[in-house]
Amino acid sequence: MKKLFPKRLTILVLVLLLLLCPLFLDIYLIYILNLIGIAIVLAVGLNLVMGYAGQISLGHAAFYGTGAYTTALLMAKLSWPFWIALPLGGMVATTFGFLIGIPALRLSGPYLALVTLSFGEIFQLIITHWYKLTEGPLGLVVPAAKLGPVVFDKDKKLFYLVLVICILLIILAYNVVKSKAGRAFVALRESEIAAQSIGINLTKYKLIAFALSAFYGGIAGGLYACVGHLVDPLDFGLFQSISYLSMIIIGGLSSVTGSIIGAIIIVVLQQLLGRLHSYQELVYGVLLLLILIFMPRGIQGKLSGIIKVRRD
Amino acid sequence: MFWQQVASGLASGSLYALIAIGFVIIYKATDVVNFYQGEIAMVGAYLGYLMYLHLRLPYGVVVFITLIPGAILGLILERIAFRTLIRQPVLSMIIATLAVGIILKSLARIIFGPVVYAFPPVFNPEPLSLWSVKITVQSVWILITVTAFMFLLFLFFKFTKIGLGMRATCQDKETALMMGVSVRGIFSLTWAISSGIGASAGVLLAPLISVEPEMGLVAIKAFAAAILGGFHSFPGAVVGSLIIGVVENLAGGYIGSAMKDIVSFIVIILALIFFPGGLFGKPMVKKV
Repeated sequence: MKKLFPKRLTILVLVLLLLLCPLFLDIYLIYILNLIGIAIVLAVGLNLVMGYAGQISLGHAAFYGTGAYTTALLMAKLSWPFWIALPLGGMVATTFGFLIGIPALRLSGPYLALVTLSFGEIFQLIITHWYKLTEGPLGLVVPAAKLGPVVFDKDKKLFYLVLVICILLIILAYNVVKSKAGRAFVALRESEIAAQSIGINLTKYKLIAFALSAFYGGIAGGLYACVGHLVDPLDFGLFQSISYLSMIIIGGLSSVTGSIIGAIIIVVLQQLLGRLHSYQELVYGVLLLLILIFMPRGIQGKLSGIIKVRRD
Repeated sequence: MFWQQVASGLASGSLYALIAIGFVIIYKATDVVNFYQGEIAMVGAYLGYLMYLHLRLPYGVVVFITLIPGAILGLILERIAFRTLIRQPVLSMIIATLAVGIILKSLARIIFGPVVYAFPPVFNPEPLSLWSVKITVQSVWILITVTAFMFLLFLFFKFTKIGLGMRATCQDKETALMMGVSVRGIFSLTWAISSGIGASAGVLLAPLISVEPEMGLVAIKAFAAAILGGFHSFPGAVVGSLIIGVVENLAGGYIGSAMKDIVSFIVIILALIFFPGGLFGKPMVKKV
């Protein structure tokens, strides 16, 4: 079967185009691309735990928020430099990921869904009400990120930052998926009992799955703090968690490419319908339903039937 | 005062119980978590509001009549959306219910606007006083209705042929089919019953929580309550709901209203850590 698009060439061309983007696109579009990059990181991470490892995570906005607030707080209140604040945001989120992984060891299905949802709600409630720490609903303003002599105050500069981090994390994800851990995740999803019987350590891999996806969420959050310059409790709730879920369902579960596709679609949709809030939700719901009925494996699943896009 | 908090807690708990029961019905028959349960209550509430206020029908009649549009909506949804997903993994259906919920909510917002409608109080708003504890008449009715439903559904699932068919379908669709259970029929019936009851529940809830597109959010607590009770048990759902209602109120009373929700969710997480199958849950043995 002849491949329609030689993979490496396509990727190279895409990356080159992306690198040149800021030269000919206007600022609003660059801002959207930044949001898309952040969403991609989020979606890829969520897919690792939900698509590959089969664990339900309905509170993912909490990891995103943890990263965002940690980075924001370190930069705004302690004036720590961005290149420490961002990774720390990721690491704090990872810790929470481990914590959520613990109840996950004994739970599955709707029970796990509830626990993750509860974590998400608790997180949002805490950041909303703990005024002293987070300024509550007023939101926290984040100063511009600085890396050496470069100040990331314009969207165009931020674009490169987001691009580099996004690409690195995508590569990481592809590697994880093909590694022993990735295979363990899939085994874990298909049958816990069978996986255990061939010696896969469930505890270890469940915790890794949650922690890793939390890390991605945290980094995405930290990036968001820098791109949006403002963190606000309303951005980190159930509605957001559900939209991340939609990203991976529409794009395709257990597929890094699918996460990318889904992230792009949802962000674009949100921007297009931004002003018409109620219609946004309606289109959302209808789109989700249609995709579920007609493309149950997501867009990526459909595409891999048509073009030979490799499925992970 | 402690007992007042408990009584108010039981009252709120009974609200959750109305919706929690709907969750259990669907889960018992189809293994699906119905995430539009809250929104169907919202639909029922809007319909009830229109019937009560504009058509001037008596309240009791409204509560019963709403069963019909609720059931019909459930049947339609099952036919267009869920039936095609039978062969998919359960997650697809669950997300589909989520999508339906989103659609219902946004339709309500588009049709009725984000305005909050106050359902006029049906019964005497003066609370009854039992042993220095006050409870409203509406709450008492809700408690009675919930208990009645709980018993009826429990008996239905345990002893009737259709009920057994539902449990069989949930456990193993193929085998149930082979045993002569009409799986399609069961699915239709399940969604019809759950949506019908859900819509009625909305009418019962409406006087206590105002009618607005977001009112379905109360279903999150109801979901939690149902899981707490062990997701496939009606008495469990009711008990779970009452527990959450009481815990919430006690937390609100003694710690502070901001902590109310936080404490409920913490309690839920702890409960599930110690009772992974819910309080009344029987761990289901899954074969490899």
